[in-house]
Amino acid sequence: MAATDGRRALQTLSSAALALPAYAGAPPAGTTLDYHFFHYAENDLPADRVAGSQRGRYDIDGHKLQAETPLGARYGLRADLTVETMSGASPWFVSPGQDGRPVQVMSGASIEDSREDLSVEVTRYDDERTLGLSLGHSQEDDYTATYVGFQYGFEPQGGQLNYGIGLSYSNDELEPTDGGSTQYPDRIIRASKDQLSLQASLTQILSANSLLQWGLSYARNTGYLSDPYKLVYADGNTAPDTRPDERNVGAWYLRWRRYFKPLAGAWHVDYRGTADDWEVQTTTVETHWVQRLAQRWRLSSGLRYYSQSQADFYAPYFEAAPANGLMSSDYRLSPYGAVSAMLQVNYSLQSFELGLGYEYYEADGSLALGNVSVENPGLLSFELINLRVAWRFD
Amino acid sequence: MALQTQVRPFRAMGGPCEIRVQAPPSMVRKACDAAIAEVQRLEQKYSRYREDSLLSRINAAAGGPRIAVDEETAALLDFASRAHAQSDGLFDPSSGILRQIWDFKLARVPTEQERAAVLARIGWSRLSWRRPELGLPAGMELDFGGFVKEYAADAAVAALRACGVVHGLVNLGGDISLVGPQHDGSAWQLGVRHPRRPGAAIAQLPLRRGALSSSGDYERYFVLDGRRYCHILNPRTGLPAQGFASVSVVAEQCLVAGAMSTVAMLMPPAAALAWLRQSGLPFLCVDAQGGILQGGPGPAAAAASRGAC
Amino acid sequence: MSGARKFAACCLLSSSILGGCAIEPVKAWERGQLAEPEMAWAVDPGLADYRRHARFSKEAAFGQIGDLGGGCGCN
Repeated sequence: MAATDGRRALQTLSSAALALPAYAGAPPAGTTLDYHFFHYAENDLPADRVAGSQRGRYDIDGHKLQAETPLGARYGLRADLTVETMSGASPWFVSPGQDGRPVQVMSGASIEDSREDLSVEVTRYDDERTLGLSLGHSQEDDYTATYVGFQYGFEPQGGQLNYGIGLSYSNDELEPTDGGSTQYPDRIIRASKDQLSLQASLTQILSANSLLQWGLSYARNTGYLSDPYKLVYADGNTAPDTRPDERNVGAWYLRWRRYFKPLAGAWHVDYRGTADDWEVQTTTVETHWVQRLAQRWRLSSGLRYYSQSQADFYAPYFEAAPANGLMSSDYRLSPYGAVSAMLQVNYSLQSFELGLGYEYYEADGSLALGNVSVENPGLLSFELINLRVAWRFD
Repeated sequence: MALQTQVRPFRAMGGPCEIRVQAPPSMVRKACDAAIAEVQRLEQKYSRYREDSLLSRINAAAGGPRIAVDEETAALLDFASRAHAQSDGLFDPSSGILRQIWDFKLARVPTEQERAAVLARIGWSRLSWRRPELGLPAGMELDFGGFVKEYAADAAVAALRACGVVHGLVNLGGDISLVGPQHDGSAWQLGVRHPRRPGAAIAQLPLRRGALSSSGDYERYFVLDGRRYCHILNPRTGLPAQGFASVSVVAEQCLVAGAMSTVAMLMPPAAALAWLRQSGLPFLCVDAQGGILQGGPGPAAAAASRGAC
Repeated sequence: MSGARKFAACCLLSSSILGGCAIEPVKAWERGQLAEPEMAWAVDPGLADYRRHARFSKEAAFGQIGDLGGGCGCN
């Protein structure tokens, strides 16, 4: 009879056993590989909102590969590689326009850039505790980020509450193209910024078929927080986008999941609120219905609503430069609301999974919770298509 | 404060079972109820005798359309697939139908034709398992009896833990899974049944955590012309195990310990010893002459007695 | 109500709700439904991560599990 290795037998059986419900609370049983392709396309700006002929915006094609594998009986390893190529034009500054209605001026040339991001996370699984350490690096032509994170989870056995805390730090270095050049003499040559963030979460098992998670987070950004490529129209001239060198953001969120056994589906509702010392307040509500169909298919449909208020140093354009020198006309600091609709289809075949999805997103001043008298002309709408292939190795 | 060991006996999986727990009295009753409920749930789910059990439904569909199974069953089938592969076919849940030709009460050895006829309906590699769908060819029947008791012991321990028990064990007719050491930190003394003397222990294995599972040729057997035929049947030949009298294995999960001990019983003794030693698990084998062979890390089991069978 | 006061109010609200809750405990073997893949916080983690990144670079909000990752120079 074939001599099968007793040690391999034990390892194989043990890892198979760990997948069973009776042994929950253990590291991943097998290796999984998850590949995504993304195509992100921003819609052209309407003609009446743009100055000049350049109306096209950004397109991004991205590839993301996530791998997860157990390391021995107690540890798990996760690696995440994202490679993106971006091209297109982006908002440059907002001009008062013919009739006082502001118009967006786009950057003239079409940018072509790529981004690579690699992160690695190691997690240790004990009976009731998990500890995770993550490290990552992101690289673009003009931007580099290095980040480190720490997560701790506590799941008392038989308890109805699970706890989690996280800490992370990121250091970003910017070296904008054409910084300090004759063409753009006011553009900075080099700058850096830091981000430190803390999170805490509490998960409640409400019932045999529902979960509720509460979360709080705090983040502090320091350093160069402005956008080196953007300008602001003030007092008849354009000046660099200038933001405070510090930002403190607090966020709170709730995530609810409820399973409906007769329908083989779950209802997800996520709520998040944020507030910061730039006076930006945001509200996000997102809901999904995730449905299992005929054992192999999974269909997920979702809606998201988002609203933000403006930063206190924001205006589409300024009559006179503010006394403290802080000003920005970036649409991302303007007041607006956004709605997006999402659809995702998934198919399982043995140890493979295939997915296809679509999202449409549209931002508009009239969608905001508050009253928006002048909306930023550079508000965004985009489409995101994704393709997914996942493998499970045992 | 010393905690008394509370013992809760019950019947399940065709034999006497017990739960031993050292916990505050207010916790014991609820915890034991929960653990027993879990054993009963699994017994009913994978029972051969109940028409409405999941296993019966799967077997009734043999030769017909595939059946989609739940996560727990899917994980057990994955486990069985791997055990089948790792044991070169000795672990095979489709071999239960061999009981139809081996009558341990009548003490009758089946003919070669009878064996061949049943063997034609056996073979894990012949079924279709594509998660989450299972399809059996016509004439095949699955029997989880060879491992569901071990899994139930682990599931019962999980239920005890969920109720807050930290010191205790679950014993399902010799398949033992521990929650944790005794209250004072000492190990539980687990008896390994003497294969030839019912009611007596051949050795004591001290254990603080993990599980112990034993397979032996003494549960159901008959002796004919000086030869013992037991209920542990080889799925490839249809003949009973002819190696050790019993094999006991210690592992983290009773399910794994049980699979290892069953497979070792079906191997020739020399191969079984090599295989168990390679695994690095603590084990204890008793041969037909009553000789004890032990292996693996941990304190040596104290032999309770030695003697000829 | 200002942002900071909203934040504090939410903290108070959360702790009072949690303190006052008397929820029937769910046994370990009853938790099967919670482990269904449709119940995951992120059913497709790769997609969730990418969406989160896209929104982080196009909106002013941040602060949620997973916003620990690297920034980017996205415009």
